[in-house]
Amino acid sequence: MARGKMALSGVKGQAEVVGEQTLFGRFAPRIRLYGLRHLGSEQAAGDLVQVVLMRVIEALREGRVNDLDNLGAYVLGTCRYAVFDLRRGEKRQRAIELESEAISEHVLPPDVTEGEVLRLMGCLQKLPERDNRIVRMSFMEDRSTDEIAQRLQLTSGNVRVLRHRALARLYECVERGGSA
Amino acid sequence: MSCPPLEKWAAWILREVSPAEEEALETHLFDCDPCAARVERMQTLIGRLNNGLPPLLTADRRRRLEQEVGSGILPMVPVSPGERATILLGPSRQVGLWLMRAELDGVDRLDFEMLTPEGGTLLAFSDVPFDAERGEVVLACQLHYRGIGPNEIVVKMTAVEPTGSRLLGEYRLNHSFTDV
Repeated sequence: MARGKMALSGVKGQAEVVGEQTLFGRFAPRIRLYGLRHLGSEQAAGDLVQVVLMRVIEALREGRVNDLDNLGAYVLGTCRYAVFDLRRGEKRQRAIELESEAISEHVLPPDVTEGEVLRLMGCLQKLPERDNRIVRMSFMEDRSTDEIAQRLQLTSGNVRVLRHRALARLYECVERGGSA
Repeated sequence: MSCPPLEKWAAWILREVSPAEEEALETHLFDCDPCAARVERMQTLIGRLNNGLPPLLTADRRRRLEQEVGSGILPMVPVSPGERATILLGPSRQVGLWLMRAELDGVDRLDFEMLTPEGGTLLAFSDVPFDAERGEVVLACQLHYRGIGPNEIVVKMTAVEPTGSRLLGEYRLNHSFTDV
């Protein structure tokens, strides 16, 4: 059994009501997303998951969560405080790393399969030409928004909006298994 | 808040939303299971675009790949217009580079087509990166693209100029596979 699971198995009270599976299964991916968005690296996002889950578990154990039906808002608030803490410098980050060693649950996505790569390339190919160029230039050629705008004779704001739409199209194609 | 469209989540992941939108989106993320799942998959998609090795490499990506893999280990096969060449891939040689040589002085935009020997299109990208200094277009050949088409492919590269298109070269790229 993973250390994280062992740590959680001793949780009582509110934590028993919510359940270990709910906390890990429901919130770990969201906390990771929040961490990637605000801390910018997979490692920091992983640290955030551990820290936030530990803090939420402690709060549940001590009966400090007022509204269990609104646990998401409590977890989000905990994320905000934890990100603030994580940004407070090297010393504090090291302390959080030590704190987070209490849990070692894996939250990273699985490796990419051959089929997934082929589907992504196929869907990229199916995008309208301008969308295809914007996605490739942004993510595969590391070009800045301003450079892309100049190349395609658009404004930077246009490039951003078109990029968001292109990603939505690409996502929908990949979700459909690669059909246009 | 009703479920935001996918492009909003793409914008959130890319840090291209206003602070007010960010707050509303994050509150929704921690409250809505279907959106959390969609955002996670969108994050994975963007991660793959960012971190995966693209088919056509900029000079910078090529340099980084050579540093990562080791330029002595990375198979690199130069091929000139009209030539046929073979690259050997296998479990210990998962990535190789085709160095497609062409006269690139003065070229502003280069279009790329990958075809079956019978002329069917496998992949077509416009405005792809090239290294004018070395006179090369670098195609990263990856073992996990094995299923995308036949072992032998034809690549056509065209310079797009104000007066029209000019064929830069046609290359026959043969892929051979080993068990080691």
